[in-house]
Amino acid sequence: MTTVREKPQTITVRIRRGDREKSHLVDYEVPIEKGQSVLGVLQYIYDHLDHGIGFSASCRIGLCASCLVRVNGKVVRACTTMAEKDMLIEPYKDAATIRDLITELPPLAREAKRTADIQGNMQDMER
Amino acid sequence: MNHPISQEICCDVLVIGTEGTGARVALEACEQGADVIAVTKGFLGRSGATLTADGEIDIDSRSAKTIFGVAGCPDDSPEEFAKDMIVEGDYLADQRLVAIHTQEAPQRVKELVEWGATIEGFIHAPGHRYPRGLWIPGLKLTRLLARRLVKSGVTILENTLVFELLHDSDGVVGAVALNLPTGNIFILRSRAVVLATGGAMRVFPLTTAPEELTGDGMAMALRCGAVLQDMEFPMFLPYCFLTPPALRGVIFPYDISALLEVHALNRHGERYMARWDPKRMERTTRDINSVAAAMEIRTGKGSHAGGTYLSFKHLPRNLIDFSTQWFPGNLQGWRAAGFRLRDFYPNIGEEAWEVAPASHFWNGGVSIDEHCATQVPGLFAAGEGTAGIHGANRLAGNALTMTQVWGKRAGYYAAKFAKKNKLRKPPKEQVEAALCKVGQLNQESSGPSVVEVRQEIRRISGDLIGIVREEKTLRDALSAIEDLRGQINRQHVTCSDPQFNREVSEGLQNENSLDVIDAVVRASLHRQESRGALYRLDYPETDNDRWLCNLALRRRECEWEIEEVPVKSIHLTLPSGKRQYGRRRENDHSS
Repeated sequence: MTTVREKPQTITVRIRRGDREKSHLVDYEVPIEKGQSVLGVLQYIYDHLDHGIGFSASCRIGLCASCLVRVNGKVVRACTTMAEKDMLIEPYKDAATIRDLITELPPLAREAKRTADIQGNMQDMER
Repeated sequence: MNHPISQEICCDVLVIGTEGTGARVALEACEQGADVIAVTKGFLGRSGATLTADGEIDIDSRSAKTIFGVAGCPDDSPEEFAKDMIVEGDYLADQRLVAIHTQEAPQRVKELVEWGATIEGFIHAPGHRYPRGLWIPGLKLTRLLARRLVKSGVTILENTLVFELLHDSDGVVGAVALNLPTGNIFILRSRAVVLATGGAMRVFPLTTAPEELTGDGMAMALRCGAVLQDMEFPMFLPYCFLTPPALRGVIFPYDISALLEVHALNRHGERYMARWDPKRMERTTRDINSVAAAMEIRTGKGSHAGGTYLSFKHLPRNLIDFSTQWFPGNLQGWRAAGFRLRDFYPNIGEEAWEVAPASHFWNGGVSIDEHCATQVPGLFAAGEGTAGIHGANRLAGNALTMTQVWGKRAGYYAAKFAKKNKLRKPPKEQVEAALCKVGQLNQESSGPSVVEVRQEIRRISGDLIGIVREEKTLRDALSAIEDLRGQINRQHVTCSDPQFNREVSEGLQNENSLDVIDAVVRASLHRQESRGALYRLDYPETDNDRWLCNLALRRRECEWEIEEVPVKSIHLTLPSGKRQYGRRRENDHSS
C-alpha cells in the first residue's frame, strides 16, 4: 500500500430505493479515494447527499454481516468490499427488503418465547 | 403529538443489551426464575462490541493450566491477577470488585466451555506478568450466547432502541423504547432494569467500536440520578489503521504485537517508547503506548498520514512467514477482523504500517457495588460502561472476562431484587417528556440536522478532548458542549419515513453522546495529574499524594457535582509520592 494520497475521483453510484413492493433506482455522485469501501460510500451519501437513505451496519470491520448488500448482482459485505466505478447497489435479497438497503436478517431472535408476538403486534399497529 | 404509546409490556427484569454482557445477565436472571425481556437496538448476535473482540478472555494462569490444561504458570493465582489489574489500572480500581473479578473468572469461562466454546489458544499479552489470555473469538462467543439465549425463555426484542429510563422517588420502574422497524414507541415496565449497553467510543472520530456504542446506558443512568465514575479515562488502542479509508479504525491485530516483537517508530525512525517506558518499550500497557503515540503526532513527529509507524522490518523474512503457522485463530494469514491485510499491504514486513490510537474501550462508567447495583434502587449495570473494575486502564483480554463475571452477577442480583419489588406505574410526565423528544425531532426545522450534531460531537471529542488534554482545550470543549446543548433540542430530521429511520435513532443517541462527553471533559478538567488513560499536558506527573481518588459525577437539574471518593483498597497498599507518567512498574509488585 503506497501512502501517497491519490486525488479522489468521483464515481456514480446507483442505488435501489423503496420496499419489496415498489422500488426505483437513484444515482449519486460520490468522491472516493483508493481503498474506500462500499459502506464508506453509503455513509458518505447519508452524511452529505441524502439523510433519508436506509442501510444497515454495525461492526464495520467484516464480522457481524449486518451490512450485506448486492453489488452488481453479487451478495457482499459492504464494509469489506472496495468501491469501484459503475456500481449498482441493491438489497441483498429482494424478498427480505424492508426499506432501501435494509433487509430482514435471518430471524434468530424470533424463535424466542413471546418475541414473535410482540413484534407481530407492533406491525399490526402500523397497519 | 403524533407519537402515541403503542403498547406497554411488563416483565420482572429488563436487560438493555443482548451481547456478551447482556446475554449473560439475561441467562442468569432467567435461571433465577425471573420473567426477562432483553432488548437490543441492533440484531441479536450481529451487533455490539463483544463480537469484535479479537479473542482473549483472561483468567489467572494457574487456573488456566489446572482447568483447561494450557501452558499456564502455577505461580499465578487470582490474587496475583488482581494485583496486576490494580497496578496496571494505576491504582484506581475498586479492589473489592477486582477480587471478585479474578476469583469468579475461572468458573465463568468453564461454563462457556461447557456450553460449547472452544479454547483456540493461550496468550501472554502486555501488562500481565503471566500468560492469562484464553483464546475464544468474540464472534463465536456472541453466537454461542445468542443461541443459548433464544432457547432460554428470555423474550428478545431486536431493533429496539431504549432511549429513556423511567423512575419515581423509589427507584427505576421501566424504560421508553423506540421500535426501529415501525417507528412505534412503547413502554417497558419492570421490577428491575440492568444496563448492559457498553461504552461510548463512537463519540470519537477514530474508533474500533461498532455503531451501537454511543453511551446510551451511561447517559440514561446519569439522567435518572445515578453516579458516573472514572469518566476521564476513555481507553485508546495505540495501533489502529489510518489508511486506506476502508481500514480506518480497524485494529492492527494487537495480539500480534504480543506474539512478535514490533517496533513503533516516529517519522525519524526513532523507537519513541524509549522515552516513555524504557524497560518495556512497545510491550508496555496500551494507555502509555497511546499517550506516547499521541505526543509524537502532536509534536510534529508523526507519520505521513498523521499517525505513527509500526514496523516488523527488523525481523527476518522466514521468521515472519513462519509466524502465520503458529498464530492462533483469525491471526493466521495476517487477517485483521474481516480484512486480509495482504490486500492492502502485499509485502508484510517490508514496509511500516501507518497506525494511530483509536477509541477502543470505556474504563469508567456507571458506579456499581459488588451486586452491580447503582445508586438508583432497581437500576443495575454490568460490563463495559461500569466503573471500578479496571480503574484508569484495562488489561488486554479482560473485557470479555468482565462480560461474563459481571453479567452473571447483575442477572442474579437484579432477579433477587425483582422478586421483592413491585411493578409501579411510570410517572406520566416522564413518559410525555420522552415522547416529546421524538416528536421534536420530527417537527423542528430551525436547528442543525442530526448529522451535523453528530459531526460536531466527534469534532469536539477528536480536536478538543483527544488523548492528550490540557486546561485550555478542555475549557474550549466545555463551551462547545454548552453551545451544542442550546441547539440539540432543535436538531431535526429530514426524512419522515418511520421505518428504520437512521436520523431519528441518531438524534436520540446524540443526546446521550453529548451527556457522556460532558462528563469526560468535567472529570478530565478536575483531575490535575496524568494517570492511566488520562494525560494532562499541563500536569504531566502522576501524583499519588493528591489524586488517589475516583471522581464521582452526578447531575441534578442542570448542575454537575463532582465528588472525590478515596480509592477502596483492601489488598494492595497504595503508593505515595509523585512520579513521571508511564514508569509505574519499577517496584510496584513488591507490596
